[in-house]
Amino acid sequence: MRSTRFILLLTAAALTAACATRPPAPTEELAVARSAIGYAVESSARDSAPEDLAEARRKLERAEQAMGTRNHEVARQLALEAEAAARLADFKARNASTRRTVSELEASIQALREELDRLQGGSSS
Amino acid sequence: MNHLTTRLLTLAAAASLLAACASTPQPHSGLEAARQAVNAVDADPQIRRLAPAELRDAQDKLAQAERRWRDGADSSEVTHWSYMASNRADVAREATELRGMENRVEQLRNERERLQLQARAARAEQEAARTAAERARADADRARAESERLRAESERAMAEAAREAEAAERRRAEQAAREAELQREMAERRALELEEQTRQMREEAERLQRQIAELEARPTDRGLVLTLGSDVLFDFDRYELRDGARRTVERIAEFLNEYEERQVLVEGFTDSTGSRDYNMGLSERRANSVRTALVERGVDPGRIRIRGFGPDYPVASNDNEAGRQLNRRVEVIISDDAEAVPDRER
Repeated sequence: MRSTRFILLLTAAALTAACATRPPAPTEELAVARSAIGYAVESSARDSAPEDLAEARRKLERAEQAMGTRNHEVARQLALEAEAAARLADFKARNASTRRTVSELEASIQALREELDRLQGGSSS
Repeated sequence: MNHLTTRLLTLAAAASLLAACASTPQPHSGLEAARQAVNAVDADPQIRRLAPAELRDAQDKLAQAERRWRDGADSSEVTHWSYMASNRADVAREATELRGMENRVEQLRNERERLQLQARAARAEQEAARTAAERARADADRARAESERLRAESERAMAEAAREAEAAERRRAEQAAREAELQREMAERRALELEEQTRQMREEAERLQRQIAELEARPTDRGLVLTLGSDVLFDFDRYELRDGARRTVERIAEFLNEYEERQVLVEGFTDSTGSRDYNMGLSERRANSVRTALVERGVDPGRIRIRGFGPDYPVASNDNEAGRQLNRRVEVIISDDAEAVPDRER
């Protein structure tokens, strides 16, 4: 265990020595982007924000491609952008759903008001 | 404050860069769009109020983009941060809308709950009113039916009363008719009786008339007077009735038996021949013989009185035989009514 960590440190040092400006792989950012896309899909973003969702997926794909070419900085940026697009898609989807909720509520309130008018109008005359 | 120092540092860095390579950064379209997006979001008080964290995030990302652009960093890095800033501005807008709508949803839910309660109360009220109305209608129907029943009953009772009144009227009319009939019958009977009486009286009168005519009676103030010649009734100087006188006496007895209320006075007379005393006795005996003969034929002796007048009250002259014959007589006087025949006035 200890030896493994030591070896890793050594490797990292060697790598740093080899190419001093290379950033670490953005695995966490990619994971976050994937889960953000999952949330957006759960929020029905496919129907409500298809363009943003498609953009998020495109960016995630490109991020993964960049990972494949070890272009970590580009991959990190694309992962962050994919996550951002997915978040926007998720908001838009939730807004659409909430708008539906609002109009449903308004409709049911309108129906209740009409019923009340009828009931009270009927009882008062 | 932090911005200020950052900005000063940036300026210093820019100045050193300018000094180093004397080049101005080229305008960046992505950064320009991000600036506009973030500024627009920052200018919206609604967004500042409802999405302050997202707004700050957007501003941070924009600041990163600005710094990299000023630092002359790689264009792709400026593009990345500009994209992130624009995205955060959009997110701030969407978040604001979402939170506003969530508030609205909350209000609408409260409103809906309030209205549901009201509607439930109103429905209950209406249901109660409907039930009351139905009950009232049922009551009214029942009352109407009851009224109808009473009316029918009343009509039946009135019809019954009318029928009874009619029957009573009929009975009364029948009674009246019976009474009228009875009276009519009585009147008819009475009329018949009167007629019969009239007839009997007429017959009686006629019979009396006939009998009177047969007996050669003559009406006087004292009554009917029958004058019977002594020569017909008796032999000379005798007082027993001759056989030939019987027919006359029978007639008189029949008449008296018919008119039982009438009283009788028998008076005997002689002519003036012979002694007065003897003649008085003879005339009385002769009157008594007539009386006896009448009693023998059924006449009540109490009805008959007798008198002997001898030669008194002559009806003709005693100077000749014809006159003397008229004076020798018996007079039977029959009263007109039940009163006794009055005596002669002296």
